[in-house]
Amino acid sequence: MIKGRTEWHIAKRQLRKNKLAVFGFWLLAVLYFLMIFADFIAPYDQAFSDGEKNFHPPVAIHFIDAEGHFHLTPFVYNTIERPKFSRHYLPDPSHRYPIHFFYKNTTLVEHSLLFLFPTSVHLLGVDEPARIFIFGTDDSGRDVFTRILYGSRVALTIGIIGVLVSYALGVLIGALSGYYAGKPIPLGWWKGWKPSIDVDNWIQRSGEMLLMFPSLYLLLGLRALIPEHLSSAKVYFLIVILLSFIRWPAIARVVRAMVLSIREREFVLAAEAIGCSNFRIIWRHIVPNTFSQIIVFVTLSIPSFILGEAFLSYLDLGIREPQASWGNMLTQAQDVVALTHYPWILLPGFFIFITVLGFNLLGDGLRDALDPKMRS
Amino acid sequence: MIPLLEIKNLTIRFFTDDGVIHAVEDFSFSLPKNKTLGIVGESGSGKSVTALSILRLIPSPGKILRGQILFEGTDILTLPESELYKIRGNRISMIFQDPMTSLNPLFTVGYQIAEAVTAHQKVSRQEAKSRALALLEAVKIPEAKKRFNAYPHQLSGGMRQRVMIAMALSCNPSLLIADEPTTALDVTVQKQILELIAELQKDFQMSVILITHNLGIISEVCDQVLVMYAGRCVEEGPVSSIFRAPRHPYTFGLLRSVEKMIPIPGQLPILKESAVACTFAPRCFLAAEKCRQGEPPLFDVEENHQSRCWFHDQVQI
Repeated sequence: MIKGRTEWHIAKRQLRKNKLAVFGFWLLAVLYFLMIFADFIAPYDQAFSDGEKNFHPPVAIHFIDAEGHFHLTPFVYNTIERPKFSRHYLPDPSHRYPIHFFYKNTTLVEHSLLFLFPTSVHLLGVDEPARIFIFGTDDSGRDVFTRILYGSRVALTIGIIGVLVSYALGVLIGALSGYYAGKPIPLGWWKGWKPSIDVDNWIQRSGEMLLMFPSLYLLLGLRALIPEHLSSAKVYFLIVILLSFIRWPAIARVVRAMVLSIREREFVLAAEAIGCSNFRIIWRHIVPNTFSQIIVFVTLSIPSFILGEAFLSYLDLGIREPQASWGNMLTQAQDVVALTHYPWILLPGFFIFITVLGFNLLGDGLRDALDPKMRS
Repeated sequence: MIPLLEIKNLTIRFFTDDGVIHAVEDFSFSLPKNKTLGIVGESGSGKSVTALSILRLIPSPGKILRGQILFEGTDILTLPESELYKIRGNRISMIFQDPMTSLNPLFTVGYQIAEAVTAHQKVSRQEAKSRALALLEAVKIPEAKKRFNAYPHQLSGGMRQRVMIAMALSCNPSLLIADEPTTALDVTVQKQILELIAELQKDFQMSVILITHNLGIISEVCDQVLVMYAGRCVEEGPVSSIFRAPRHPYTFGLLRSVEKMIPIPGQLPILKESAVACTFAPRCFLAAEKCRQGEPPLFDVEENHQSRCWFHDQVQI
């Protein structure tokens, strides 16, 4: 037997050769790592706020104290707002607050690491009243770094759950549409009249009805149909369902085109000849053959879900405070004055950017790796 | 005794955008049990369409206009879809020309044979697997156990065709239709596959319809030959009789092209309307005025031997 290289082996090798795709992969790997250990890595929790440190800039981390002595453990100074309500913070160099690793912060609620181990140990921490605000704070004194980590839970999962739902829907509908294209299903026989239903036509025309609308307006319109105040978990699934609902026609179209070409391949005829049912032919023989292409589309459409969620949350129609999401964190950046004075509140946008970049680089790499014509 | 398969006046047309193509016209034959029938003809003469029509798998825009396909006495053309599934792959199996594309590239060959078993028999997964393994051994694949988990791309063309045959045999069919089973294979492998089919035909006690454009194959394995031209049966008879003394100028031309490398001039016509003359007349060395005025019927020239030629007694080697 020839020990041939399978499609996947070849694709994997091709992917490794593509530096940008590898970069995208590791970018995402780091982001997902941060997401999984968010409550441990974050020095605070997402509801924590320090009312006396609104719009606090990122804290300076020192090694050398005011007298010029070098210290091996980095430390921060406590800061005091001078004058009051000016949002100018002056460090108080009289006392050093060394940064502790694996710091047990008893002032915060216990979190459960990996949803299993309840603990109040955080990766970093400093003693009160000093704060370790790596990315500064927002208008109510909440740590931006912490909230970015918690917000990544929404952004990084909604893309994946979103594509799973929308592609399940799109592939299901598209496969039926493609398989029955040009083959109307007879509905029986009645007095010489033979009614039949052209499934393909119905599916494609109704899909086009959805595609007619500009998708953002359609999204807003559909959101308006649903009660405004819902719990975060409900809103999360609502967003997934809404986005999937407006995305399926595009997916179904692509899948239909693939199925149209695969159903003409000889192994489908062979499957018919051994007596496989239509159902079995579609799901066991045709649909699996679309997967190598679908994977590419899936990777490339994850960003649109992340952006969709951010868009809704930004307009305060998605995930709501105190639950953190990159979109609702950016709501504060609407104010140009705030933005010019406190540019760090734009950081969630940067994270959206690198996440989308990561998925696009990986997706482009996958497309080239799975396309025999692009191989070197 | 009723024959295993009897086709009566089968007429198939393709309703394309460029007009109606008369693919098969008024085609009849019958096939007794445990016999091998060879259907020969050029590409486009309607062989494959006829074969597919037996399983009612004609690609659209093709339609069966009239005729009967009686399999063990029941007309396949009037069966409901649900009954058809019970015949396809179970009572009648088919193997195709290109074993490279007839197997699903995503599944192991063992899985695919087991699938063919479970499609018709209520057996456990384990039983289906052992049955598939037995079939792989029956089609003489060396190291069947190892090959069982191989993907199609890991096997050679001949092996893949053996796998296809194993799938076709999975339910002990009484009729095997082999649509140019050796065309995509190289000559040495062709011989092995043909010998295998001939052997299995006896072991499994089935009838075989062997479709080919290679007369050499016919002479080796078939009992009966049917020559098709432009959707019609132009000559039918026992192998010995046809090879000894063909009674249609087309068969004569085919034999001569193989033996003496003298080609038949002209091309196979694509018929878009009913023929009013002999369809072979434009290429025929015997053609006369009579041939251009009316289509000849099938003449009985010998016992079991028929020819569709006005001048069937003038064809001589």
